[in-house]
Amino acid sequence: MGLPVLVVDDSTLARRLLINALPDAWDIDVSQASNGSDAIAAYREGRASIMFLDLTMPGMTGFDVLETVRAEGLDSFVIVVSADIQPEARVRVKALGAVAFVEKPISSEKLLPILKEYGLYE
Amino acid sequence: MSDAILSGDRRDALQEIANIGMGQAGARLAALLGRFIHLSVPRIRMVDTVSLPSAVRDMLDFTEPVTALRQSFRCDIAGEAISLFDSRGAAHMKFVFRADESELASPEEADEQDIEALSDVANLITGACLTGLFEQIGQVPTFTPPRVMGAHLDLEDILNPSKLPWDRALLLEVTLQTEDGVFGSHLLTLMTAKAVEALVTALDGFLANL
Repeated sequence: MGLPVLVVDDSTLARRLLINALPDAWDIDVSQASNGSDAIAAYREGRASIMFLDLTMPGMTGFDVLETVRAEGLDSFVIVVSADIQPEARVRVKALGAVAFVEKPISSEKLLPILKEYGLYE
Repeated sequence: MSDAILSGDRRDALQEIANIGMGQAGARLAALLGRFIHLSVPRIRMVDTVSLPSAVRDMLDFTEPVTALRQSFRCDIAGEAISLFDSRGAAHMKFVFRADESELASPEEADEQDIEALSDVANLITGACLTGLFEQIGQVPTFTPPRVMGAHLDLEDILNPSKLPWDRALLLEVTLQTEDGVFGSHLLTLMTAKAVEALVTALDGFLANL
């Protein structure tokens, strides 16, 4: 059983691009959520040791998901993957406990150094 | 033009690339205003000219008069971008762009300066958003300068069917709003049947290359 990884984005395309950018050789078990509520449910089921989280989603936003996860003990490495590239967005998600911020459009070149920096993938 | 042309994967892809364009516009606006900008989820629908005002009213819940500016864009895909501002947004832009109110000679001059400030911000938002969007599908759009469609008017007067030279179009809407609500802008991007055909070709090429 690989490391539980959760990909959260309301866009099917964005989830697909993110999953494509993950290293092929990484031993992970990927789940997907298309909204914040499903993301929280998956997190509570232990399917998010690592969570790739979009910010701009209808209903519960990525900021809301982060707040909830933090309130519940932040038992996840949350990497925000967003088109919201305001410096303040980066500051806010870090304050809410995200370990990293990756700008969309996603690529393996952007993602790999972060996975390596946190020892998530060697 | 049928709604089905933009169903499923194409709609999802357009929404996601619009999201990337909007993020770039949001960052530019945040830098200009020194405030955090809330980004909306881009909305897409097919509209008839006659139903455009009511469609926009439904989407945006507008109650007050608006000021609108319009720009054409062109690459393989051509269309119109309409920036809408409410009166609060117009007043705030005046504050951002003009430090000294006492220089004003008349209300007419003040209106002119409002429009100038809104033209600058419309140009910034439209340019960043649509350039960011089209870049994802290998297109580089050019833009005409903003032209005023109407100031402090009802949506029905601004989006008057007689002013719009088409019957049916794809409407893509994004909203950028400061967290404190002092400034908000809605960008309506309208593409007619020919442009949608070119857009679909570009989106299909983009999706096939993933």
